[in-house]
Parts: sequence; C-alpha cells; structure tokens
Amino acid sequence: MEITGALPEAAPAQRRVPARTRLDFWFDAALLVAYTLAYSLGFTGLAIHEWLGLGIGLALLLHLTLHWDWVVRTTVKLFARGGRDRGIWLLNLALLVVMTLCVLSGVLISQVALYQLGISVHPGPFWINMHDTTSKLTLILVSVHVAVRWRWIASVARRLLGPRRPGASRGPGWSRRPGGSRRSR
Amino acid sequence: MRFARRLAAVLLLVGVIVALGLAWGYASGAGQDGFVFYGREGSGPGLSLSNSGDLIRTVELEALIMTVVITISAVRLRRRRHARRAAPEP
Repeated sequence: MEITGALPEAAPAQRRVPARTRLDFWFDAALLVAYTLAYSLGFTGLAIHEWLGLGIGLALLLHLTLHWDWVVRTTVKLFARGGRDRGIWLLNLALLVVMTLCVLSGVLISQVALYQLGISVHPGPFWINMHDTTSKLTLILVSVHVAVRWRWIASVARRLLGPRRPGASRGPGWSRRPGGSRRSR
Repeated sequence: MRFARRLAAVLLLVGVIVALGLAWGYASGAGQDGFVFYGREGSGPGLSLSNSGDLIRTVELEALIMTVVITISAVRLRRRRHARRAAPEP
C-alpha cells in the first residue's frame, strides 16, 4: 500500500495528482476507448479492427506489468481470512484469460493485419467461434472491470478534470494505485 | 530492471494462457492448415468509418453494464455506512 502525503497548499490541483496516477488514468482511458472502437467492427472496418486489436494486446501486457504489484499482493493475500479483493482478483483473472484468447483467436483469423505482414492464415470454425464468444465476454468483463473501480476513477477524474481549487488538499489515505487500497488501514 | 522482471513475469503468464489456448484448439482439431508465409503484399479490405450505430450500441452496452455494477456498489457502500453508524460505540 502506498499512501502519498499532501503537497504544499499553493500547488495547483492537477499537479497534486502523482505522475503515476495520471499515467494509469490516461493510459487506461485510452485502452477503454481503443477497446470500444475495436469492438465496433461495423464502425471501424476490418483493417482498423485488427490493428487496434493487436495494439490492445500489446497495451494489455503493459497494463498488466504496471499493475503487477497489485497482482502479486492480492494473490498472496488471496487465501488469507477476509481477503477483500478476492472477487476483483477472480474477475481480473477471467478477463486476462478471455482477453488473451480473444486476441489469440483474432490473430489466427486475421485477414488484413497478418496479410499485410506477409502471413496467410487458414482458420477453422473453432477459432472463429472462439473469437465471437470471447469478444462478447470481454465486453461484459471490461465494463465490470472498469465499474468496480468507479470510486478511484471518479476521484482521479475530479482532480484531473474538475475546476482547480488552489487551496484544496487531497486529504489523507488517498492511494495512487487503482489496484491498491484506497484507504489506509 | 524491476519493470523488465515484471514484464517477463507477465509474458510468461500470457504465454502459458496462449499455449493452453493453442492446445485446446489443437485438441479440437482446429488450425490444422496452419500459417503460410508468402511475403508482403497489398493492404486488403479496410477502412469504413461509416456505421456509427455499431459504435453507439457498444457504448450503450458498456454504459448499461457499468451503471448496474456502480449502482449495486453504491447501494452496498451506503448500507455499510448505515450499519457502521447504527452499531454501538465500543
């Protein structure tokens, strides 16, 4: 758990948000937008859908790496009595598995991106069905994954996007990690 | 260095899931034709930023699911606060 202390009173509100929190917020927001676009195949067309999907696959590796601390910490505490994040841990594990299978099956049924890279694929119906099923599951899991952190998102969004209050203090017990505990215990 | 270690762990984890997925596909008799490398050519089918209804439907679905989860979470939070207030002082 990392708790950041209050910064000097005169600092503008936006500067009080730690750089890592800003990175998490904007990177995750970009991921959500990219995912929403990639899911809307009729809007983007196949080429953008496939390249976005590949980009999202790489971005997810970075997302998971940035939150690896939370993964390790929560996994260690998983079997402890009253583990608070057990449900979220299971949700995130399901999302990781489903999203990985979605990207994998997407690569295997690719018609444009791999073609442009000089690779031709002849997928069977298994991978087409897999991509169809996992993409629907990811829509549900991604939405839940975002929604369970709504308090962190609202808190950071208020600080980043809300009106600047020169004298406002962030207050105690405010964590900089979306995966971390929001309150000191 | 720490980032590289974490990235390696993530790659290992994702690699295991990919391997299991491929094994599942293989066991189901999928992908027997495999990949064919032929060299880089043209661009294939592509861009059509036209059907905005598809995008709107995706956003609506996401918003609906998020609203349900956030409402449940907010109600539970409120109940917990009420219960804490109602509990006698130790």
